Amino acid sequence: MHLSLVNLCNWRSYADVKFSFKPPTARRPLVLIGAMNGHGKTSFLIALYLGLFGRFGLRHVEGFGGFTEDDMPHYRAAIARFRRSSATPDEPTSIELVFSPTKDEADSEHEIHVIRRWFFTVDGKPRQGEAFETVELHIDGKPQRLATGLDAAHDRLERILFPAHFMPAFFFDGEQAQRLIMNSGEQGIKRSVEVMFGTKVVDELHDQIKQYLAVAHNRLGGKRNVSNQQRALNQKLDERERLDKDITDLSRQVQILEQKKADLESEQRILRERLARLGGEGRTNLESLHAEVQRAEREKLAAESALTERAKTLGLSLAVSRLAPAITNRLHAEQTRETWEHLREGTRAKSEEVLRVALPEPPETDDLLGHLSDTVRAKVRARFLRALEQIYIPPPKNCAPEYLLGHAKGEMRERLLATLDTVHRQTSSDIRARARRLKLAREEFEDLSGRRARLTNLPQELSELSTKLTDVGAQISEYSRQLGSLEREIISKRASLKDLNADIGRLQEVLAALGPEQKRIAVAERVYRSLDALSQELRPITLRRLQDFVTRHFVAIADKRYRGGEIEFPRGGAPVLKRYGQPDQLIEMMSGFERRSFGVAFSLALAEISKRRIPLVIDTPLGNADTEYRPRLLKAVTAVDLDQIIILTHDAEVTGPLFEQIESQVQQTFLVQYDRNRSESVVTEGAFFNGVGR
Amino acid sequence: MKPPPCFDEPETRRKIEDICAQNSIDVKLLMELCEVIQSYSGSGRKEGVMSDITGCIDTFLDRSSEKR
Repeated sequence: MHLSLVNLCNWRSYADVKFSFKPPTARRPLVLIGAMNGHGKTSFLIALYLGLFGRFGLRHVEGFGGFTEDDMPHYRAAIARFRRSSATPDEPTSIELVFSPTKDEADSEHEIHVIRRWFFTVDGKPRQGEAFETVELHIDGKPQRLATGLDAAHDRLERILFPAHFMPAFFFDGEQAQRLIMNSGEQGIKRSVEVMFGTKVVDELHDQIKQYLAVAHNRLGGKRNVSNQQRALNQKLDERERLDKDITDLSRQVQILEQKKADLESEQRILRERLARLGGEGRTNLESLHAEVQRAEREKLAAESALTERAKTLGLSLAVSRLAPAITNRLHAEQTRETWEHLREGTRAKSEEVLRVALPEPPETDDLLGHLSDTVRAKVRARFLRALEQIYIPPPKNCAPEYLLGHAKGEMRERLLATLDTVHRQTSSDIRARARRLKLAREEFEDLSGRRARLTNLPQELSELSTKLTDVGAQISEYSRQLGSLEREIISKRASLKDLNADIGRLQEVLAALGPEQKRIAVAERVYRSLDALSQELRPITLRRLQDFVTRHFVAIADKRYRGGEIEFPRGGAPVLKRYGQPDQLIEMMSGFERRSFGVAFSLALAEISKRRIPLVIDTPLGNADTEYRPRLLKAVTAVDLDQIIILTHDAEVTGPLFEQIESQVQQTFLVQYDRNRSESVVTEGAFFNGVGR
Repeated sequence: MKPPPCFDEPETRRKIEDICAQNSIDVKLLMELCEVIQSYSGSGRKEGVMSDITGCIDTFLDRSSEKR
């Protein structure tokens, strides 16, 4: 599957643009969209979130993490902010997205075409109620009837593509990849994987078959049946209904408790982190820190004084240095004039010698012009003299018209020029050095003062933290105990249910001989038992596969020292990295790049597990990553078996050798540039940054 | 409609086959039933689900009687 069209109208800096993507090939799955910061990369990414899932996509946008889907006023306000400010009121803001099957999947995938529009009043405010937003969904070119409007479109899209809250696994900001884990929560991730892997469908089918059986039994006359077998069956069916209800209630309680426990564990981690930091401070000797603060304060005062003194003593120099360029230019111009005047005077002085060569005297010795009369020779002589004068007229362009600084001539002028140059350079570099010293001194002083203040309040803060941590730990233990008890109860009830199902199956098979409807019920009973077993057994396999895939991608991207490690998603806990002979490491406590590696690895793993071949869209995948991390990440992203990978990048990211590394896989490029005259982002297909790409 | 990935993946596919065999049904029936669920999901209408499930079960009964 690939993204074949993105059409944005009145969307942030985009007035009305179309990104038409060519069908990718196995050898060329990459699309590069180049844009400088602020020219439209993130707007493109946000358009995917909101265009596909509307208000269900907003919380994945940076700054809207706490948004809840029912908060319509905030949603309207957010869309109003994303709307292009110069849009005319009668034009809606709209996002049109088309996902098309690739050549090999024409039979199994559908073309999904979504058009979402938001409407505004004449004074530019979001319209109220249902008039605010519309959505059109076309599948394989056919418009879909959406009985419950936006919500129906949402459910349908979740089914065809992926759950809305899992969107950042496919469309994400490379620098924020780790936020995926924080935002979705461990339980949410596991559930989403079940949806993507299909085990959720198994659960839904389980519920539907249960309903089917209830309807089928009712159709046969329910409990009014006469046969003993039927009566016995009905009793067991009632019993099963009660057991089912108990198990559902218990499972719901487990889910609530698990969520509460996960929240507490997250709080516990934050508290531990704070405590560890304070513990580090606590080991520092308060007296030595105090001395350091005093030293830093002295240094700050000294630096301030040095800067002020220099500024005073260099008052004249500073003034000169500000005028220096003008004075220097003037001196150079006067130097040119002096040179010009010397040359002109020299020529004048030599004019008699030149004339003697041109018109030799007496005339009898002049072979060429000796025959001329004296009057004519005098005229020729005067003409020569005028011609010699013309050699130096006009003066050179950069020549001063007069001497304003005539007191400084020759060598004195040279010395003055050299002095001016030295003063100008030394003054500015000296002032810069002193200002830098002051900045560093101030920073050090503020840092040390802050540490001293924290350390002074440490005993009280430490005690508060310890108490809180103890309370949280006790609550977690209590929740764990309750969870254990609930889970034991569920296991016991499931065992009873299994026996009951076997009894029901046997009775039903006997009854099946009576007629076709009973035969259907017997088969439905067998399906029901199969689904019951499947929903129990597929879940751990799904989780194990997820761990394997995430591990494989993570160790390929992250630092070498993590090779040989394994990622685990422990029940009721956050993801951890396990390594032989090393303590377990919580992913969320690792460095920023390792967390980012995990986020990217998770997306790639999900893409593989789901086998959905959803296009991957990554905004700024490399960001400010170091030179070793960059090629590893790019290799991992481009090596994954996906139909299409769209990379949004700025001019200092996927360029130079990194661009060359992937160039052979690039199918298409776009360059987005913000046109200040038109106040909009303009898209050029086939272009990329100057000197790079095609 | 494409069946869920768990029907394609070897390990889960084996598990599904074992459980189906233990309960005397075939994997095809489960896949067809999953397709029914997928096709109704998000449509806002559920009235055809029961008859479609009956259709899948009848096809299975025909299929199994043919085998016998």
